Amino acid sequence: MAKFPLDEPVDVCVIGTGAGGGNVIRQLCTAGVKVVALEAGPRFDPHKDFVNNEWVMFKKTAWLDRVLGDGADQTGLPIWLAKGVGGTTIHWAGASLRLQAHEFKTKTVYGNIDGANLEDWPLTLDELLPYYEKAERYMGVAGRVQPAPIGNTNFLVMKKGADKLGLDAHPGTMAINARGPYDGRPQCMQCGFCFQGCTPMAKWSTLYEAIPKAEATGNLDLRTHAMALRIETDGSGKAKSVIYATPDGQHHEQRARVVVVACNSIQTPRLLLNSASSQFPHGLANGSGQVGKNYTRHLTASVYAIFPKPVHAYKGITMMGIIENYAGHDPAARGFAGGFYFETIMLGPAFLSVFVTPGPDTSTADARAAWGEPLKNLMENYTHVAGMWIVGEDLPTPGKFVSLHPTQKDQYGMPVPVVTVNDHPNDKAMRKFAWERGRDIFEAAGAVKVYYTPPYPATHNLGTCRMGADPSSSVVNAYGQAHEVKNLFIADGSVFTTSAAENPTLTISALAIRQAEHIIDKMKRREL
Amino acid sequence: MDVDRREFLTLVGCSALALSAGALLGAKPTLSWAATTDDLGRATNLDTLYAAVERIVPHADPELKELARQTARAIAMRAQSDPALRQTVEQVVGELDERAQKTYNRPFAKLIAEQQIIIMEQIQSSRAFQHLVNQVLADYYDKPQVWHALGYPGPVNDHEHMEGGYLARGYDKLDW
Repeated sequence: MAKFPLDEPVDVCVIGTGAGGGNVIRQLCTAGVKVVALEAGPRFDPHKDFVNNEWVMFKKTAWLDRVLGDGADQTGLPIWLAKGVGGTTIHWAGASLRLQAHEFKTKTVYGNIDGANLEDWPLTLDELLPYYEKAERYMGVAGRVQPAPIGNTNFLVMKKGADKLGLDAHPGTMAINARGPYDGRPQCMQCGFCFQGCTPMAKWSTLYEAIPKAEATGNLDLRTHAMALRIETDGSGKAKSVIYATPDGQHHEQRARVVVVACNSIQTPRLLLNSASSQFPHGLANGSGQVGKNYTRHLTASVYAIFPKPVHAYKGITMMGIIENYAGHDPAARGFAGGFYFETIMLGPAFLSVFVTPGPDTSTADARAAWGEPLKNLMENYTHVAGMWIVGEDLPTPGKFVSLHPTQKDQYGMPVPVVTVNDHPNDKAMRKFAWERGRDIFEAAGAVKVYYTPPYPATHNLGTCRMGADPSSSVVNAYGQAHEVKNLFIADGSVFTTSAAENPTLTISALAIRQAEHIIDKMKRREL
Repeated sequence: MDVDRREFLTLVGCSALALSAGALLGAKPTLSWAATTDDLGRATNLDTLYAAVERIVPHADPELKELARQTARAIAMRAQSDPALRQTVEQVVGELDERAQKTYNRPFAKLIAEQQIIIMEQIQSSRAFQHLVNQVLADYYDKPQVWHALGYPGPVNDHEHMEGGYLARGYDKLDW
């Protein structure tokens, strides 16, 4: 661990330490690049700070600075991201799926869809493949570089239904040490608290993989409780420094040759928009006007069901089982573009009671929470409940975007971000279809009561600084490098051109590793 | 669902043993009945709040009923320092009592359960009622005693809980 003088420039300043920032930091530091990392949150000790309790961990690790929802979106809590070293890799479930080849070319493959702003990615699956492989090794993806998990009871219920319908349910590729230790971290104990922060550190997080490896090089100065407010530019239009606030209210300026922004798809566009200047009047790197636009979050929904016999679905790796039969693009058969997955999910009683049949405090304004006998029936059958999450591609539209609130400010005086979401008809059609197929699966397994659960607060936030070949319609190129500011890079899910159907962490990691290699190469050649 | 019910009652019978496991509850403010009643004022009838909470989480077991009263007390207590919650509670309770008087000539708390449900269904779509439901659920189903009654073991593998995960205790067998 290094401490660099506050007033000295550094090679690279990375903002954010989650899947994007963490991977970039590891690659840069192990290649000898000096990095200052700014992390808005604290640094948790998994053994001491992570506990097996949903509300306690939500209050401790969730990003609770104000984020407003608008449109037909969640009213109480639009997003569910983590704040702390490791970012949302603290909270994530571990599902590590590669994108499918056609999902890099949705404009070409899906064609013109009214109301959707589709574009092709500026890179292909073949180009990303070596980086997927590297990411899978760092993350220890079970089913890729270590043995696949054995399914838990929640998975066995899914499989029972899938088998009857001729679908293929199997343990998914998970960045969890499912069957033995890996990379100095122990085997998963099947606690079932993946979302609360993994106490044994068997589920991959940059908190205890990438960051310690970077610190061991002596090239990383990690500053926690450091909230980035603005990126300053010099006369030539290059990024010069990052202004950040510390809890004592002081502002600091960190100068750097290169700035990497990895604050997630809400805070990254917020930071760029808040960095407007006379040179960049619409926000930094926003000549295209696309910063904050093309927001996607996966269509998401869940199906829960009560069974006549006990399931005890809360035991074991939460997102262990997967059905991939609907992941492809088959509009002729299904009536919508893009695909989705079923992945096992379960919540503790505290969250099950508020999320399975949610009201407006935890879902959309028109949602009505269950109470009385229907609630009692669900909760008294807690041990007999199985659940599946639906994760599918949602379409970028003019009705989904992140913007700055015109008047409301946060504790740092920075404009509060507003997340506007209105579903595209394709999103609604996919959700309805997926709910019905989920019902079929659980009824085939013997369910006596099935629940169609609407989306939770968004965990897969994507696409607000999309990558593209054309600087007039995208923010960054295929390396996450801003078209307009050549020493400014974006390393989080906001660079996704389109959402694809897969859980995004593996792809964010692969892109970040690729970006870091590009930065190292350009720095060596003095082109950065 | 008869089998479920029997199993549930068995679990409830065992749950009294788990009462001391309230590590979380220990962190919450101590509840004072008198202070709560006084501070909420005449506009808010605590009995009405108890009755409403009992209908929101209508578990029949006596211990679970008592835990529902604890939740009602906790919400009343919190409403003293949380103006938004106070407004929610006063609005819902006032509305329930007013409608109970109008329809049945009795306070809400004196109605039989079926009548209370009819009254609650009339206001269930209001934002205040929905907010109250959310607050009740977030408190009630976060209680270890409730978890154990429902058959959920709760924490198993953190610095305060050393049972360990389910790796060696069964997580991958379904006996049906």
